[in-house]
Amino acid sequence: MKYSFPQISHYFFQNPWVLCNVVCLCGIIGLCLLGPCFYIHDYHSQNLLMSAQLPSLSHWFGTDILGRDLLARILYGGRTSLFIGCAASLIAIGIGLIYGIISGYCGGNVDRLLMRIVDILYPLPFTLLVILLMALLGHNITLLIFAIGGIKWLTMARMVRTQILSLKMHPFVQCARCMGQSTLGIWRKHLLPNLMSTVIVYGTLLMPNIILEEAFISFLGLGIQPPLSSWGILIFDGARHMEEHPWLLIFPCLFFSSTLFTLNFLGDALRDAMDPVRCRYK
Amino acid sequence: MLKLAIKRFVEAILVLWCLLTLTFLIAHWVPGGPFDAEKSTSPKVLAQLNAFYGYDQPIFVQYAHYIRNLLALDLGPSMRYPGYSVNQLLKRRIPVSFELGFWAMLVTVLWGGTLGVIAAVKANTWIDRALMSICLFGLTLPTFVVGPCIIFVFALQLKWFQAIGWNHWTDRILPTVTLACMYSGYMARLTRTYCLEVFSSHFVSAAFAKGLSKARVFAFHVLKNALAPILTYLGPTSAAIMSGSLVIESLFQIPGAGSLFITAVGQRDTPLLLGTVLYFALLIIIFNLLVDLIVLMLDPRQRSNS
Repeated sequence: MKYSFPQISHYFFQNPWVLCNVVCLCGIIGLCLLGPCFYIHDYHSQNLLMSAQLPSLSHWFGTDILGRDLLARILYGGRTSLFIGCAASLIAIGIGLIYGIISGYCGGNVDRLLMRIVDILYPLPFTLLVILLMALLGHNITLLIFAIGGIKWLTMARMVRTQILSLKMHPFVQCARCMGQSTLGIWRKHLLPNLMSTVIVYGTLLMPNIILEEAFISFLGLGIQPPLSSWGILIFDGARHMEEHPWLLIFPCLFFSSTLFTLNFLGDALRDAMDPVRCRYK
Repeated sequence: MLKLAIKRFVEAILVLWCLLTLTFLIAHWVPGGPFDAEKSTSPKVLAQLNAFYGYDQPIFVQYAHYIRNLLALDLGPSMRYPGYSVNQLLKRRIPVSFELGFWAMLVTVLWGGTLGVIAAVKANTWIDRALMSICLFGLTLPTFVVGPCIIFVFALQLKWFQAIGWNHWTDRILPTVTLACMYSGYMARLTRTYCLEVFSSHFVSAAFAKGLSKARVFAFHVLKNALAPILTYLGPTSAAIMSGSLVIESLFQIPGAGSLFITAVGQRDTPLLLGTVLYFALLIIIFNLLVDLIVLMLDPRQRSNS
């Protein structure tokens, strides 16, 4: 149930593809975080004389319609997208964890009620509600994070509950209970550490999902607003001008897709590294 | 079976009611109204408009009025399209959305399912690995990346298809492919996983021990048993395909229900908004119900339990 770091790193070093993927992901994240500090252009200053330039030595990825440097905008947009992905994932994981632990640990009628609520909420078109909130309440980044985090916790809650149901029957939990450990103490010391593998794997798979959701909403023009940038907006802008200036579409798509790809790949690899049962089918 | 159907029906009504109420409250609670325009309207006209649509009444009166009309299947008048009722608009737009969703689902199931089965049959060979990598790649290409790229290559450069529109049958191809691309990736991965899971169970070994061929075992033993979990996944996927069609409809200028929703949100057209939300929710609920019933019919154990 509990996995040590050496075990995972051993798996990673045995699989060159996985290792290569991790390096790529770290590269993208590092570029987005540190790149804007070193790159001479900033993401918002416009220069209409330099409108829609092809990639060149001074502007590595060219410039957009308003003459803003595309690479700077992509890197800055990456910061936004990754930040929203992380923050909303954390919110979703937090809600899911607490909900799942309560449901699984209490059991009985509480469990039945809580899981019934999840069942009912599961198929609802929440994306519509997020769009509605964003369109009506203004384009607020905090609100966007909370709205996306608030709709993505359902799967997490289900998975945590299933784990807790089996965990709480283990002798070490029973023993802790007999020795008078408080409920919160049991959760913190005995249940949470054993849930970490689920949380890490699912969190890694949830992040691309959320980045996608944000980009989707920004693409519809309802998320982040210019001059701020995010990958969704850049792709949307690129799609509008693709006939004359295809590079405006190609470069953002490249960054966006490779981030999603590496995150998904990493999630799969982590699951295989931590879950010997699933590994059989690999 | 009947008991389950009734339980599901009551649940569905409850969900629909919650969703509608929530949407109603959000739409009323936020700033901005349907009559806000760039030119300022005179207070008198505004008051008349509000009185005509019943917006001067307290919110619970409006709510009761809306629910009463809804029970008579009347979704009210649209504000963005004066002179049209929401019923008329939806009646015209829904078939278009439905057609697009249908083709996309068909391609997803056939294409994704086939790839998944091939990968499962050839598990752990290079064919399997190549197929799964392609599927993972497809997963990372959402509709709003694939859409513009496909339009760029096939419509603008090669000029094989029209870039936008929904008139000729060839106009259906690009949106369908775009919409199905991502979900067939999911579908293939899922099919492979479940097929392999069933593949390692005892009755498959028994079938092989009897001397059946691999093709026969796959067709009659493995696929049949892997179908139930895959179908369970397809229910929520229909929801995803429908919400994915929001992007498709704005990209390809298709007059479907998704673009109606975007218009309604942008223009604060509350009756239209409620109508489209109701449509999406109904669709999802009906799909899930259908899937549940089919799974029940496929699995004799569950049938005898209920």
